[in-house]
Amino acid sequence: MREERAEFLKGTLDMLILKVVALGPIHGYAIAQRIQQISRDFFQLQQGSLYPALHRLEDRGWLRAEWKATETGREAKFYALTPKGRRQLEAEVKNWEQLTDAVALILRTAE
Amino acid sequence: MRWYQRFFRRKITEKHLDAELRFHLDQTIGDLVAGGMNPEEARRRARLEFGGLDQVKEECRDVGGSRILESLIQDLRYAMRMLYKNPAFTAVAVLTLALGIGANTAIFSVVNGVLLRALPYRDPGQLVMVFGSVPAWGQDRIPLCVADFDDWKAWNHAFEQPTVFARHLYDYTSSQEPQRVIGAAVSPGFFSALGVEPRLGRSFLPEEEKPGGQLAVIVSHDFWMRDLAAKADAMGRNITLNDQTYTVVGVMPASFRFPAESVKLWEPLRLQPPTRRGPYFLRGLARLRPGVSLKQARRDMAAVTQRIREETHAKDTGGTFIVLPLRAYLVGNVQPVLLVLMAAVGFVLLIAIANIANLMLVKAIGRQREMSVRAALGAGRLRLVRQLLTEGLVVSTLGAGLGLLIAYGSVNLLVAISPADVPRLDEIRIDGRVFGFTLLVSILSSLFFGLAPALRVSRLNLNDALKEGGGRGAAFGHGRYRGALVIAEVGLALMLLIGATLMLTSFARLQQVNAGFDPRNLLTAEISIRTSAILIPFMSAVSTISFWTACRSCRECSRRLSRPAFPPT
Repeated sequence: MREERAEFLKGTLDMLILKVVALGPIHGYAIAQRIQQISRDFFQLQQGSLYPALHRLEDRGWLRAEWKATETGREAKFYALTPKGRRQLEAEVKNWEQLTDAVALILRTAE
Repeated sequence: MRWYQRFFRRKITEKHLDAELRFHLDQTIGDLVAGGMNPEEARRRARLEFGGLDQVKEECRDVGGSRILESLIQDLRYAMRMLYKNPAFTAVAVLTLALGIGANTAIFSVVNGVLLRALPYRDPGQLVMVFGSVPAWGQDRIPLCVADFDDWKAWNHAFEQPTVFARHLYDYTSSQEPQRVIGAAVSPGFFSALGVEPRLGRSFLPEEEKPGGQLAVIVSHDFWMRDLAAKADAMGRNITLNDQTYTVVGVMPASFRFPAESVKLWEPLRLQPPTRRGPYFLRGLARLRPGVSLKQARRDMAAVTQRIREETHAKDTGGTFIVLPLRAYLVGNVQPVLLVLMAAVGFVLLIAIANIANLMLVKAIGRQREMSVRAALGAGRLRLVRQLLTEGLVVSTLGAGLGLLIAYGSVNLLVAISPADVPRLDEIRIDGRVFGFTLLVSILSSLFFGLAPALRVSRLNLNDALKEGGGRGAAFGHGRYRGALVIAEVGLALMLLIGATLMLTSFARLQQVNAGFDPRNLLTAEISIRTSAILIPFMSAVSTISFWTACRSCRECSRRLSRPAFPPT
């Protein structure tokens, strides 16, 4: 079951990251924590895999990164959503909703 | 950050990446310790949860394009070092390839100059030569007679403006030393059919083209440079040809060498209305009307033939006209020879590539451990394949560079030793197209011999390789694999060798045309006596014969030559 979830996660990780970052500038560790908390540990995120995704999103211009001090005073890399990233998030959420609606519809009517 | 910025600031990027990941790990450890775990255990857990640190880093670096440039430079540097450390292998591979590529480039530059490069005339594909042909006599390049030309002009529908020309020899006597110069007498419209105008001066005026008109001559660029001192005021100067005074009216461009490079002069061909069919001394040159194909032109000429037969009631010899594309006329029978030669050197290159591929493969087996270790340390398979391909590329680039030098030297040699009847010799040189050909060949060959070891690496089984690689020489323990390699190598080389030998034999056969006489110790020489004396051979036959008789009986002549013969020309 865990393997399947990991596969399932791969396609949606970008969207989840964008969603979490949309709430305000945040560093990688906090993103991992947030995804895990909100999903109530449904996603066992291999934490390392988060970083290539972050770098990819930054490369595409959806995220903007900045080094800032955390509340403990240590420097960390904070990610924030760019306008382009916001549009991307909206598009992905819309896609996702259409997809889940369609799947839900099939599941309900096929009974 | 754009990829190129990242490339130039990769040290900073690397530091940032490090700090970012360390921050993450430290936070995890901090949280775990806060939860009551002992620090040692917490560090272990954090690492475990995170996954392979180096792999993550590698993946982060792979984002965007900078990695490609960076790793290419790394690959290049590594490949150079590898080749430098194996001088014997490098020398053998590069030299083998250089010979293969050099031979191919040299022959290709000949093919390019002779067969591929466009003729320097306007729309050369529409230009054709017209000859007479009597199949029953085995003759298919018979010149035309004046009556043929007139009929062709009058009755054809396929040609823009039929023209004819005849080669002439001229005694050029207004220079310090008399020279014999080859020229051509050309009918009106000759230059416009080819679509080339004189570079300096003008073409012939209509009155110069009529019988009895002012004698005018157009000279080649070559002649103008050497014999007229390349002066612009050479136009209008008088020169003496065959004891007659001609006025130089134009100079052709340097690229104009029609019908052959040896032709240096052109004068108007002044034809008298014919009284009979013959003599046959004219070659036809014409441009097909737009949209007319060679086939249609041939059909058109067949109709002309038919009409000539009907109107002249002459004895039917089965003679026809043949229409030959200009390129085919100029290139002649050199084309099959060149193509055979090209195929032969192609085979030689294939042998070279096969050998280098095998060398690389054998070396790859020796490097199995190195590759396994790199793979185990997190190098992607693609990365290793790229590394091997880069090594191949470096070898082939070096080989191509050296090959180009070899080709450069041998092209000059080839041109120097070529029989004079190879057409368009002067157009053989290493130009952009030849360079492109070499580049393509070298890249393709690097793919071939880089791919062999690369394929091996892509199938590398880490576990087995590391285990077996543990013992020195264990990688060479694949006796069967090595055996297969040797068999493949010998088999391939033999096959290619046979192919190349057959090709070269065909080439030799093509060259050995039986001349029908024994050419050993046979010399020919042409002696020019005052042309005015033999201008019309029939009329002055007596003086010609007496000249040759005097020659034969001269003491010097009979002492040195065993059986001099003076065939009339």
